[in-house]
Amino acid sequence: MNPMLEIRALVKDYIPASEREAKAPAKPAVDHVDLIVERGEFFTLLGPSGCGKTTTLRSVAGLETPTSGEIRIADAVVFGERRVVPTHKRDIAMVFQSYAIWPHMSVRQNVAFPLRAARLPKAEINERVDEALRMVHLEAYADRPATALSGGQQQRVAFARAVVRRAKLLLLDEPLSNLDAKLRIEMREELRTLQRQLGITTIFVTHDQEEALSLSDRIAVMRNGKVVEVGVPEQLYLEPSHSFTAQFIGQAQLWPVQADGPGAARTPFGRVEVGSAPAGDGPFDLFVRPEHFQLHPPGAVGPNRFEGEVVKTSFSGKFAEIDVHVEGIQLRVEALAGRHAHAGDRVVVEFPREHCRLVLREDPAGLAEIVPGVPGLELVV
Amino acid sequence: MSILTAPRQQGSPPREFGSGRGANIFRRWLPTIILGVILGYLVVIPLALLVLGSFKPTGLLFDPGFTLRHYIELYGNPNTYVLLGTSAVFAFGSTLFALVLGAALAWLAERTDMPGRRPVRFLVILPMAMPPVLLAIGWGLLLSPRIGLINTALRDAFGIDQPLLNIYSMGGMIFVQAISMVPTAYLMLAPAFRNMDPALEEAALASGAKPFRVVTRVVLPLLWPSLLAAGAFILVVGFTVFDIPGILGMPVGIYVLSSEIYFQSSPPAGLPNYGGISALASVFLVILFALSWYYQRQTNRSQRYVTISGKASRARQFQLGAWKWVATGMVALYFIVGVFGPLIVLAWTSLLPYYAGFSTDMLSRLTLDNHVALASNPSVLGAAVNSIVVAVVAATVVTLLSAAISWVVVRSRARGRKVFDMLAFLPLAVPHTMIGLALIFVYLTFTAVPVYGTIWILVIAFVTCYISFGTRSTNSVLFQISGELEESAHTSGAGWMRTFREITLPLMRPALIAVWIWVAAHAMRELSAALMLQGRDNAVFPTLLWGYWDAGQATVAAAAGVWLIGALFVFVILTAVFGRKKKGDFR
Repeated sequence: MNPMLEIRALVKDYIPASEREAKAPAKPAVDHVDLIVERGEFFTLLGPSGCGKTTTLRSVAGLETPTSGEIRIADAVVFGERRVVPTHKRDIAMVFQSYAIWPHMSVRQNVAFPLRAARLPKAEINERVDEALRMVHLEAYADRPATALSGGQQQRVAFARAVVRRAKLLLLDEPLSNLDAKLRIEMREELRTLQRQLGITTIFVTHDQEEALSLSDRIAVMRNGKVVEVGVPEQLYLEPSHSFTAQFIGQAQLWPVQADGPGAARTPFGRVEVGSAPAGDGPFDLFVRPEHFQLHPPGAVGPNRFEGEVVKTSFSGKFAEIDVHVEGIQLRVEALAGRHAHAGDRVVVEFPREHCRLVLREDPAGLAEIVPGVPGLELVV
Repeated sequence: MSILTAPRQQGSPPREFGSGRGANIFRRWLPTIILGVILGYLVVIPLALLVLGSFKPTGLLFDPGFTLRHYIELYGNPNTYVLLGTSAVFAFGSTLFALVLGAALAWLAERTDMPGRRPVRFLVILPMAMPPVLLAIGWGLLLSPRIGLINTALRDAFGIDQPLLNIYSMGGMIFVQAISMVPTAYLMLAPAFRNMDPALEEAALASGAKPFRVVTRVVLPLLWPSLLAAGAFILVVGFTVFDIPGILGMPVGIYVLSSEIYFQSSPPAGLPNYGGISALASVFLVILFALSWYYQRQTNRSQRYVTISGKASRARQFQLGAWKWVATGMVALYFIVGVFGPLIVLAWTSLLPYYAGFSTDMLSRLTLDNHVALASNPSVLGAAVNSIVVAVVAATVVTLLSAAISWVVVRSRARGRKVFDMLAFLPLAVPHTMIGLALIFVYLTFTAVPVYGTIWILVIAFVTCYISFGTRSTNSVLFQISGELEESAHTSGAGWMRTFREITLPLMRPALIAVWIWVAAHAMRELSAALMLQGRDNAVFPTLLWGYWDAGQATVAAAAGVWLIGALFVFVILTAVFGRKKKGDFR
């Protein structure tokens, strides 16, 4: 079966706000993005703010007019060289970050609006609105003014209003980011259940990697208007191909290295055997997650093992974070609590071969942009 | 924060109208074309003809030849500089006076413990029901040197021959004009006083600054942008207003720009010197456009200032101590002087068989004759009907047009939207007598459109006069409505028309109602443009009133004035009811 959404070579030039800015070289907001989303998929666009994910989503909705490229929804061209389908004629539904609930309407009127716009008979509208409200557990609130609802309830109204259309494609623009932490996790699970239940193809935009990992079938990691990497959550977390992905999703430690044959690399610590390397010539970084290091008593020598000195430990309940100096380089080990080490202890750190990966190195200038936003990230160059 | 005022998301720049390309290019240009034609018709053509006329020997556009004669004569004539000077003295004098009074009133009502400050906040809009022309007439009746009530009372009390106060003077004009602008000054300054973050003052006090220093170094600089914006606005009005200089200045030969234009357009004999008038008007247009440009820049700036503190902290209240009763007395005096004095004298005069002062003798002679005469005069009824028709049509057109212009300016990416915004703002700076004059040019030139001398030329004039107010209001409300509310209608499958009808318009409704009432009330009291365009069949209530006053029938004019004020009070109260935020309102 053909994919539900195809985006080919999509470009959206940045539109300068004034003449003065127009003279500066303009950087495209979206720079040759190619994406394919299969039917029924929960597909996430993940990246830091300004990476072009929202612009891409809004281009699919028809709220932005791209500069060039092609967008097809269920095989029908909605944007291309000769054809621009206006938003209201695209088979989509969208939930906005601000929910965009119409304050002059009741809950029922909000949810019924898309069906009235489609000129459905009254009986069918009522039936489908009731069904949608039941689905989001708001049947008791149908006749309340929409503004009399809490944030989480408004979010549900927005969701009911989107699904009531039974559109082919559901677009979600950071719908959870205005909720408080507890509600966000609750809504996240509900959202996932509903999406599975309805089987609706969903494009989800977020900058929250945890949200992306827990919800998505597949994730496209974006940066500076480009797609860095597309994959299923486990793959992106455990086997990223790019240093940007490694750092943006979860915590990662990276060291610039040189490939040394197919299965090994020359690192600042010495020779490290690696599980796998991406295709290409590099340059490469060695990437290990802090929880994958193994600690051994001093003297337990072997391949991928290096001796060092514990400089600092901190205990956080489930885990202990242990900073170790190896060959003058500090690295962080996350170990299950209980196996205590103390500052000043000599230890051997093992880089388990199956968890050592070579990833394509991003230019350092590009990395510096995102480092402050990601907690626990350490970059050693 | 409510949904409506949610800030625009970083990812939602203005949307293109339609999403066309190629074949859709026409749709993309459609709003530009439609608004271009309307604003061109209402604003550009009249002003362009006015300016062009100043280069024509006869002042009429289709007559042959070009000349600079009118400008040479204008600059060579010392009276021109006298007129410039008089206009400036009147405008700056009344602005300064109105700002001082308005700021004092705003400070007392917003930042002190003055008794009665709450009713003041409501009462301050009442003077708006008092048209400037009636304020001037009322004060003429009170302070005319010969028959003024106060003057005769003073004369009797002190046995002085000379009149003590003469309202028919530059000082009198400045005084009445300032009184009429105080509510505007108050309304423009009160938010600045109200929203001023008290922490800024407290920080200065805590740093050891004396209260006087706090005022000069902290309070004034914070207020400065609002003061400049209000000052520039009141100054523009001072340069453009006709009613007060017309009533109080013209009879004694004191002319300012607007009354000079009126005077020259209706000379006692012969054809008006249209070329000379339009040369004069063009010179002033330059000054006024500069002023209004400055005003717009200042309002943008002052809005930036005010938004610094969106917190709900209550401003520090200044303890007036024993002075608080003095303050209440002063404020009460303002209301007596600004509203009740002229109102009472008008009501009194309207009941007299001939004009006379307050006395017990006259009580027995009070009569309703003037009112009966008015009510039984068919031309009065005609003028009243004309006034209502013109007000209703002009208000409706301004409201709808403002909504459409603002939508294109604020929301769309249509070409030329910034030009439209400017064009819609420009008429603010044009004296209404000048707009009237310009329309005379237009319809004497294009006689194919037979509106000259009908009420429809008044509708056109009033729409031009008030489109700047309308678009300023609708612009600001559209800025407050998040664009996502309309975008979500589009993603719900609603087309452009349905979205505008069912989402945009209902969300703008409170602002639209306020605009409608404001324009209708002002159109009902508008004298200057109506007077310029007066023809056989288009008398409205204010021109009728002016006619009675001009013909020396003060008592009948007063009776007509009482009726007009009655009608306007209804509107002002409606404004208060609809303009106030209702509980549970989504704004």
